[in-house]
Amino acid sequence: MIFLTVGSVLPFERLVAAVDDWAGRHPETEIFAQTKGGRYTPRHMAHAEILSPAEFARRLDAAELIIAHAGMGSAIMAAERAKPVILFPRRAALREHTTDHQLDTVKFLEGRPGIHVATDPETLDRAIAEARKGGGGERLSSAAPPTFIANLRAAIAALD
Amino acid sequence: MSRRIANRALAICSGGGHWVELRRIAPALAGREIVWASVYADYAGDIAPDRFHVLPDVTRFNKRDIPALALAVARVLLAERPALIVTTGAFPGLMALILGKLLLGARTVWIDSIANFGKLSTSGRLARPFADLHLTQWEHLETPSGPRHLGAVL
Repeated sequence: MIFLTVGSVLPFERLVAAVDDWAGRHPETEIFAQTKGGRYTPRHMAHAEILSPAEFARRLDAAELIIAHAGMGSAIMAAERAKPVILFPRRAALREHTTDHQLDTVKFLEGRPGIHVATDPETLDRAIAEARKGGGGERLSSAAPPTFIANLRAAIAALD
Repeated sequence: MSRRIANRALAICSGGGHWVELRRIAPALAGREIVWASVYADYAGDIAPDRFHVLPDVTRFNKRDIPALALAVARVLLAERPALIVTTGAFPGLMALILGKLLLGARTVWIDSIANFGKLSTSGRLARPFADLHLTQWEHLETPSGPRHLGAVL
């Protein structure tokens, strides 16, 4: 199963339409999408506007591949499960977000094991093929790195 | 009686990535009683048995709902009286730092999301005067006058 998520804040019609188009050409692959609504209604894949966190986690666990907007939450949740993920950045110029920070996100995450990037519908096909072949990266721990935790702890203690 | 509960920390943020990042830094609060607040009721399951407060889901996209968010955050602060407030953003975190300073004189920590690689978030810039500890997760965004960089959630 491929799980598509555009996050929990804004719809992302360009990505949903691109994956739906891929789904139409690959009817043998099961796909589920969290779409946050929007003007585009998928025709070739199962979808919901929003899933509960428990259901969202269940879909992530069941997925062989995750396709997501380039939000850190999506990227981290995929990495915590060692699942391959394709990140597709939102663009401010297309009114998909208020800023282009997702372009920065893919810049610093691209190339990590298990992380793939597609920036437009044309590169999505190749990214899906590569991600399915490549598998996931190493499982990410559910806590921040110990040095950051220790630094933060000390800095907070120093406030008192 | 003090107006703050010394060992209590409020961990507060909006949904999605902010919530994921906030949970990753929670070990830095070990030894304190953590109460949580965010914008989806279902998040309670992620941090049980800790206490959880649900807030209205207000972003910079729906400005009309800001008073409702301010009221909800104020209620949480007055009910819990945390001595420490930690947030990873965005709008609810900004609100909590402002009101936490004004209502409780709490210690406040702003950790700008790791997604803000090009520049500090708007909420992060606005939070600066209200944050005792004002952090960026990117070394290149650190400046002598703040924000500081102590590491990142990844």
